[in-house]
Amino acid sequence: MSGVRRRLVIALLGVVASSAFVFAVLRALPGDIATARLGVDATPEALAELRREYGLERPLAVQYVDWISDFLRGNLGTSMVDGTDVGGAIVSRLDVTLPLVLASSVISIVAAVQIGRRAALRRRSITGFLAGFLSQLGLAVPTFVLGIGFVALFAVRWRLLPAGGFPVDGWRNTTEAARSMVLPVLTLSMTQVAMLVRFARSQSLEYTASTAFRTARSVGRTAGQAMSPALRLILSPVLTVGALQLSTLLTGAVVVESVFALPGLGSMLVRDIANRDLTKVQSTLLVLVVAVFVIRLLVDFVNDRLDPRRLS
Amino acid sequence: MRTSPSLVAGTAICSLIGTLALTGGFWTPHDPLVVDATRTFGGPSFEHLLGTDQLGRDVLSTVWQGARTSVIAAVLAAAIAMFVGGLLGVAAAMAGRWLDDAIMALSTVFVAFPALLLALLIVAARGPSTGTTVITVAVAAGAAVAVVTRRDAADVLATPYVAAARFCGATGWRVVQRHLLRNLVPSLCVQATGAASVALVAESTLSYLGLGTTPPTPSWGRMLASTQQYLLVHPMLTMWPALLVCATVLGLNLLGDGLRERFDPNLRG
Repeated sequence: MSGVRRRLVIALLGVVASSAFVFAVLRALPGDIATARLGVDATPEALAELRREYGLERPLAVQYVDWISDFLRGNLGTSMVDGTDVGGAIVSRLDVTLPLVLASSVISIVAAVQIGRRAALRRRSITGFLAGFLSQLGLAVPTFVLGIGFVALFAVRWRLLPAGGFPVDGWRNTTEAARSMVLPVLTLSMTQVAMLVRFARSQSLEYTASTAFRTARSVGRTAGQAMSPALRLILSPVLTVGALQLSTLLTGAVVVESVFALPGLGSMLVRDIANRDLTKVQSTLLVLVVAVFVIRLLVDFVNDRLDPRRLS
Repeated sequence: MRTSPSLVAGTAICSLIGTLALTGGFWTPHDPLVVDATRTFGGPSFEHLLGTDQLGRDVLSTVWQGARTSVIAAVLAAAIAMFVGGLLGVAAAMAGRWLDDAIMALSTVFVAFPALLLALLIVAARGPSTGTTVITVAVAAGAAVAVVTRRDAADVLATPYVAAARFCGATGWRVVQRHLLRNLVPSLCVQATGAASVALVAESTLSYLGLGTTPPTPSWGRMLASTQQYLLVHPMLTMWPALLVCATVLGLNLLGDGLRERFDPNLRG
């Protein structure tokens, strides 16, 4: 179990380092957080008041330890702009972000494995060529451009789906909520698929060259049947890359929520940054970083089950 | 040697965009900042080949100068990433021991830290600007370059000809100069195109979100954000910057693939 413990320690160190980094960048860079919030022509009294309220006059180390210990107790602080609880704001936004990210990862992983497998089997046919071409094209189109393209086609031209927004009553209005999630999920999955397909394809190609595949073919299995044992082998690198690319998925979520005006975590973060709500940005970023490290850890464990050779 | 189609297409696209960027600083058909309320949403004409936008500005001139913003961001970020990452990678491979561990640990943290979150973090602290974007991408890409360069350099250092050179009395500096750098150039070139394409996407994405290049400097990302609301009536306004962003990224990706094929004989098929 030493492998597991080592990974836990590395993840923990990563979280600690990242939290210190987030704090250092937001607090230690030139420029004062209170001035940044109130503007350069704020009165000294107003600045002092704000600093006292958020404890900004204390030593940085004390502020950091305070922030982390509050964070561990589940208190993420309050917004500097509207005084609301940051934890509550994050939880309320998960309604949109969690389904968006989860649906996109599942769809993109399943699609990438299937497309990659087929592209490898029909390497010399039009399917294989098309898969390669579309993957190259998909990599070249930035997420937000793809989103705008989908809006132009599906919402503006064909009027099939809403161009953006989310029903006010959330998931209670299930059909509307689901309809407004279709284009965002599609946008986010497409960019992921374009990238993951390459790994699925190369892993499949490797398997078709193996003796196991050749033997299965020679006893009369069809190419598809001979390929089926390789599924977990293909899934493993796709999951690994998918986990490493979690940052692009989060990036994508931030962008997609802005393109489609969804009230999610990402669009909240962009707005808070524009408003210079630094206490809120700080805690939101830490939550995201922790999430990234936790998911990577989970993927590592899943991969061990898929491919036990990794453990030895 | 057979020239690969990716290399040709990539070079062609990149030179075209590069030319736009270089000339855009000196001359464009119109001044992209001149607002003309009498000719908003003008269609294509001989005077305005791509029409005019919601403020009556010439679209061709705006995308032309937008190329400059994107290319400067991409080239600067790639150059910094190559230089810093390459230097750190070579230093780690040559020095070994604690310096190696320290550099690699630092790089791993930066590689693991989501790049856009890093960008958002720095924007939150410093305010939006093209410079912020460049620095962020350079840090994120530089860390990745350091890791790859360290691995490549270690491979080269383990070869018999380096051992032979050492045996003949070559100093560490001479090995770096004569054997290491030359062997690292191909891999660095390929990585540079990757970093440039990441920087380009990052610049346009952040500008689109209103967190990148600030007005009035023309930028493809901001053009997309400001024309999106007119998509129903004037889709072409959004089309041009979108097309250019995609074409440039495609060009850089193709160039990278082409270079990789050219440098790595195993990939040539």
